[in-house]
Amino acid sequence: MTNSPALYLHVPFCAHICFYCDFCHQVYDRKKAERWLSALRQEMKERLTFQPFTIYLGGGTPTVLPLDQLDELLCLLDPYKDVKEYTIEINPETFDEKKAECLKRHGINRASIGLQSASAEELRSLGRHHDLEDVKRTLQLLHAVGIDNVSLDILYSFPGQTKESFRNTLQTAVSLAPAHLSLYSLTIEENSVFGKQGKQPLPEDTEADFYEYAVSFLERNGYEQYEVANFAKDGQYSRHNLVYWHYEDFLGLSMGASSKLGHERSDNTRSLEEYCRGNWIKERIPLCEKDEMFEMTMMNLRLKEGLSEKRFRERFGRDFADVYPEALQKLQEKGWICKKEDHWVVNDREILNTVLLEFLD
Amino acid sequence: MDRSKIRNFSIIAHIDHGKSTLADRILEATHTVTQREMEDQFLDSLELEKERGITIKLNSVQLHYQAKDGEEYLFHLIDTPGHVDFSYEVSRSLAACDGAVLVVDATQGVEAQTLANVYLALDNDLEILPVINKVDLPSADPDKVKKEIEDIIGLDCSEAPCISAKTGLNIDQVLEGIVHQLPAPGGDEKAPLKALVFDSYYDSYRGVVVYLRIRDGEVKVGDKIRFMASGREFEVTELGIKCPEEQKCPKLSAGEVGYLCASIKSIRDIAVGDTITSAERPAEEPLKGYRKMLPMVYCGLYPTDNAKYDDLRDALEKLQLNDSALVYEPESSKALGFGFRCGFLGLLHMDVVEERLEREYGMNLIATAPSVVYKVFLTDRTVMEIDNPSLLPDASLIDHLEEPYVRASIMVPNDYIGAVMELAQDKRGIYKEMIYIDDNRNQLIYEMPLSEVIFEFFDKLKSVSKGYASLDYEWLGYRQADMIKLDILINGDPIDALSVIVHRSDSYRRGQMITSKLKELLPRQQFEIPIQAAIGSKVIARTNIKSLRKNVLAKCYGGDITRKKKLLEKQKEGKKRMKAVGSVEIPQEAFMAVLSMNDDK
Repeated sequence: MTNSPALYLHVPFCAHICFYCDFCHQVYDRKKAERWLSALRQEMKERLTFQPFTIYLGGGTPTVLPLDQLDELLCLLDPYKDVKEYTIEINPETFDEKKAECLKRHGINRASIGLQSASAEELRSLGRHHDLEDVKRTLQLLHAVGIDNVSLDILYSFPGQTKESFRNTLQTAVSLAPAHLSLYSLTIEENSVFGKQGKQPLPEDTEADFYEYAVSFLERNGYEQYEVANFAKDGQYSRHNLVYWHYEDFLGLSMGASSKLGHERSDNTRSLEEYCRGNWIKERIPLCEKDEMFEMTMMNLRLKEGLSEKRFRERFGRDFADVYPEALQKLQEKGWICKKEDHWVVNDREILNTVLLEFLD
Repeated sequence: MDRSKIRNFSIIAHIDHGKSTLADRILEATHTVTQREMEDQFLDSLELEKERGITIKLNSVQLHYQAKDGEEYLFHLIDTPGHVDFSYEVSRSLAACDGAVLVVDATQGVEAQTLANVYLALDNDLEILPVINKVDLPSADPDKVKKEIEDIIGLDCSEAPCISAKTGLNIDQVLEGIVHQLPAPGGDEKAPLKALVFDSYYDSYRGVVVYLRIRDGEVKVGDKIRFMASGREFEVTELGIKCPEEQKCPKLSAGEVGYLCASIKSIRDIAVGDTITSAERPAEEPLKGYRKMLPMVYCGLYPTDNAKYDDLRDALEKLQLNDSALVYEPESSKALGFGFRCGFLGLLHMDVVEERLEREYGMNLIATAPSVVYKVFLTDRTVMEIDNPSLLPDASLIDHLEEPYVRASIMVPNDYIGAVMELAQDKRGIYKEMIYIDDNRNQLIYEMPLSEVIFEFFDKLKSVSKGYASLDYEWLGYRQADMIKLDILINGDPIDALSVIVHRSDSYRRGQMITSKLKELLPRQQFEIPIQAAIGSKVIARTNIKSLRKNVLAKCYGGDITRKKKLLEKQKEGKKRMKAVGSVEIPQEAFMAVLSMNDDK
């Protein structure tokens, strides 16, 4: 492993809570954001002691911060802004020209925007407060300041969605010509609004229909499915997310963020109070070699390129085929996995979990 | 100890009338356990008992009570289960007692098992002290309940304490009642030793620990003893009492209840219900043992991992020592490999055994659907007893078949009589009579096939009567019935462990229900799986499980690793609890699905 760890920074505020979300967030409040920023300053001083490989600002909604606080946050990161990829997540309803210029000024060169659906009605049913026009406006604002490396998030398999509306969403997304697309099926999280309402996702077969349709539609339109849920045009992969899928190190700052550094994973507290007291880390999980080998397999096999034997050997000093001889034999017999030069590749990543179970004992 | 100061008694009651709570209060009132040590259902030592709020095992404890007459009394309290499945435990504890405290809920009155337990106590010549419980509840009607007890059971209730075991109200009256109304033990200390074995368990250090009630004579550490039924002899290494922790003592004499260890290595050497006597000066006759309880239901128990067969045998052997009603013998199944056919007193008993095997012995089990024992009369005039549906011979070889019937007694408030009768009819019940209890309640008597009573009847009875009906049943005998075997085929292969014997008139409905239930329970696999129900070679119901298409985590970034890995580990655990049958993996619950009679799912 040659790269320094990637940096993820979680902004734990939103303007509203979307019905499907159970991430670490709360409704934005100026006073709280002030306290959060000063606590973050402390955590950065203590933990961000290196030049990260990439930076990713996620949430929550980073752009919910008003201009002055957004600027304050980005100033904190200025000493590290010289990275190949510097991404921010944007919610179209909380974005304007000033903020676009601010992003540009601080070196951000990639944006991830929650489109979710092209239907205004569907967006309302998801608890989102923007529409397609807001997304288009956001893209123009970004284009105006020269941020053209954009990814759009699309949600599917949520209650009320039809095949027609999904097709329309995909068609619309492609017409906006983003560099990158992420496609997420709705998971009803217990702690989300949907979970509490007892909402059900669409039936398994419908979900599979939607997924298969989307994959072939996007591939036809020049988007390569380089990861289970991610598509890129002309090799414009997300370098930051590739760090996760390659199972390399990353530092997660702020509430609810996770890190993996060396042989340890850790999760930050989700409580603002704890966080402000300087108790950033809530749980540390030491990793043994067996954990790391499985986790690397779990993450790598999500990729189209698969798992590199060479990288596995470099990391663990053992051959992948020697670590999992039975699983590989069984999976090869079933035709679910194959070897392409240096890489082990799952043939049908749609049933990846079933494949991964073989690597667990 | 002066025997006139000893009282050996049980608390008997219908389930949920407050038996274990009263036992808790008695323990407190006699300072047997301190407030600090006290926890609810103190005598229910199995984790399972506390969790489910029921008593499964009898449990005994010795208490000291300072009575109002200034004397100190020694109480042996034996807590007993209330559920009908465990009536054998009740009868065992009663055989070790001289009296019984009968607890009746002041809001519910006499219930089916109140009666059943009273009759058991009377069979054992016990004195009965009636106690009216839950008088603190707004709906309590102690006078009405007292009258009910006098009318239905014929016990004088003029002196019966009206208590609240929950709040502790009038517990002193119960303790005084035990002293004055229950008899001291009889027996002759000078006579040759006669002690009744009423329970036992296995301890890896001391061997078999035997619970016993001394009827005559005495036993000391170092004595040579003989088990009269098995003829085996041992030297006593330890004696003691439970108060409630085990406490060693040098001897036990007539009237006392305690435990005994004698380096008994094999649990086969002793039997609950046997009489212990002295090897040097043996008694001539053993005590009257227990009515041997015959299992009512059988099912196959198989380890999910075939390599664990020996572990399962050891576990069953140990559990049997603690649960004498459990019987088992080896069997094999084409689908499931090697396992055991086990007999139980009822479904709750079966459930409890399964759960104890899993929890206390770490087994992963597949249980096949339970079955009653059928008598099969073959055309060659021989008779077979079948407790495993898959072994039912071909229809062409069968002349006729008989199934067990019971006499079911259901106590039900007038408002629900219609619904209960409809249910009983639906379960092939034959109406016998309706006995008037009071203006609000009647007792319905039905003759019903045991299989119908055991499977879901109790749950349905509770649901159609909003919980007010109570049930007890007793064995009647075998009767001819038009039963056939329903086979279940998964992916074209008959799965012997899923076969079930059903009434011909019900076979289509059952076939439909079982196949659709299995469709729900079987995980999708990478190919389409047909599920069929067949009588002989004729398929009467079929459905398909579509193939698995999508099983992948929607998104997986850095922060998701822990959670997603846990999810996979959970799936893996679930998979380990499945049995691979051919190329199909079948989860545990599927084997119970054949019992599912819920068409209203």
